[in-house]
Amino acid sequence: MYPSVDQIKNQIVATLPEDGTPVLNRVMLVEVRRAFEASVTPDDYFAAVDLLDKKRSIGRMRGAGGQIYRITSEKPQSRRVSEKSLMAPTHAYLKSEFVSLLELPKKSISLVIDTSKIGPQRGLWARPDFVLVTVAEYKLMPGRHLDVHSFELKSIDGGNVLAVHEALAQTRFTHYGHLVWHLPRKSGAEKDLQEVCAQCEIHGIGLIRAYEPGDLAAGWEVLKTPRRKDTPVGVIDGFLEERVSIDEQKNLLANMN
Amino acid sequence: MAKTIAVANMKGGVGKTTLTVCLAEALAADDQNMKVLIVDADPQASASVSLVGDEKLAKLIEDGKTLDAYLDDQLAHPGGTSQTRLSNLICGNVSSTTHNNIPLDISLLSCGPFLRLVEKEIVRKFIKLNLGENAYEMRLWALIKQEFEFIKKSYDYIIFDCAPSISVLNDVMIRYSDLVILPTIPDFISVYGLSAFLHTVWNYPIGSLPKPTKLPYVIVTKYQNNNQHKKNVEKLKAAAEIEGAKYGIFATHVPQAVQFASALALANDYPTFTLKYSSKLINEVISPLTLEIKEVLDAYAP
Repeated sequence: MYPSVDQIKNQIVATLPEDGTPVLNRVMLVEVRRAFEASVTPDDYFAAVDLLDKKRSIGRMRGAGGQIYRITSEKPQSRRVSEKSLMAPTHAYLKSEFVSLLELPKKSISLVIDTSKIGPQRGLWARPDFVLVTVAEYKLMPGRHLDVHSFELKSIDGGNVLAVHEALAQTRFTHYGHLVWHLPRKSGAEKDLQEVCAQCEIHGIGLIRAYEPGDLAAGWEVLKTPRRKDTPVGVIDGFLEERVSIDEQKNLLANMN
Repeated sequence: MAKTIAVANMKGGVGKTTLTVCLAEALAADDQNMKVLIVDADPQASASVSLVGDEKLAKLIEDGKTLDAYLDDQLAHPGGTSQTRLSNLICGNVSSTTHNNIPLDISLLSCGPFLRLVEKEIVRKFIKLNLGENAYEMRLWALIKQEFEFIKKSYDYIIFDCAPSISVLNDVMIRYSDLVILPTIPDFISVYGLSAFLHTVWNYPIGSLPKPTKLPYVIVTKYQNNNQHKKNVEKLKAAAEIEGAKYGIFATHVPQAVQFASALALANDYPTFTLKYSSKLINEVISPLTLEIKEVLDAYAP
């Protein structure tokens, strides 16, 4: 039986996550249609959304066809932090806490570079958000050892299987690929964590979870460590040449020799 | 009135269910006013579980809202308490795939795991009543015709995902459909199996059901760009072009691609049609294939 706008309204309220996590309109429309087993029209759906919005029961967000969220006293919608805003704390975390977790030998150097705007404009998944280059000298191994890590940063609603594949694709230029996901505790997106972890495990991608990006000491956790990829030296060399500034290249060369 | 398509092959693993779901989504995305019904006629229930999820499917099985439960009520144990019209068992709007921000209008008649047992039970019952297999065939044929003539009014396309076997139910669905599609991998074993299937159903059908009159169409699936597949495709094409050919063949091949496997994405993935299959696959394979199928359907069921 085709539902009334009032019934659609009630169904939307019943389906929206309690914690205020936003839901895409297209996804909510799927849920509403499934619930009533009827082809609820976009017109009726948005009429119901308008009524809820007017009552301030729900809030709206723009992008990808729009999203709606339940308005709660805790204002959890503020939990979504844009990728742009996450860049600075992620840079700080990678430079400090993450590099220390690598337990590099003394006298090693590490370089974290924001590569989100560097690289080819065209080409799929060819621009990691950050690149970490480490140069280390070990006790018994001859020479100096260079490793390149790539990091793909995702906000709360961007962590999914596709993001893992994006991080994986970037390892065609690097030794290690990581997905950095801002996923606060008790977030609705936590339901996807298990699948994302499983995909990271399958593809050997590291997974770093940012609970509270501003808290460098306790707000981050490495959930998966990546497997080293056998990327050809020439490819990595070309990648660094494109992404690393001349000064940084000089710094690297000085430490390699 | 809906046009009906049966996706059938007695060989398993040729991509029947994947093709069924992909085709349903392609037809629904091609014109978003179109309503498509998938009828899962395979007790493995792969189409059902991928469309509604295992939790919902378990509930449907429990409530007797599946094809096997319906046949059990109607033919093996008539006089039961369940719904009497097959249309009442259809789950509307099951697809989580969206296109242009609107969910694809796909409904499902699901199947439970007891279909084979139910068919055996029906045969046993008919034998007990001194009625032969012909009586079962004719009773099932009449029942399917009666129910789907009613259901057809509410949809634009109905696609039967047949089980990998030759059974009375498959025979009926093949005969009831406007077009029968035979997904076939162009390797030796699948091509061999195809001949046997054609021989049994189209060339020398046994029983009381009407002989299928329209040529079935082969779709080459899981195609790989290697010599063996190329040669077998040429053979399949050549056999389809001779006078008195036993089947037609679609020019578009379905490649071995991960995106096709994602046709059976889980119910709560909410992909968009374009993201699910990729623009390349849609432009190069799915759209041309859908067009070809529509052309044959227009000729078969104007």
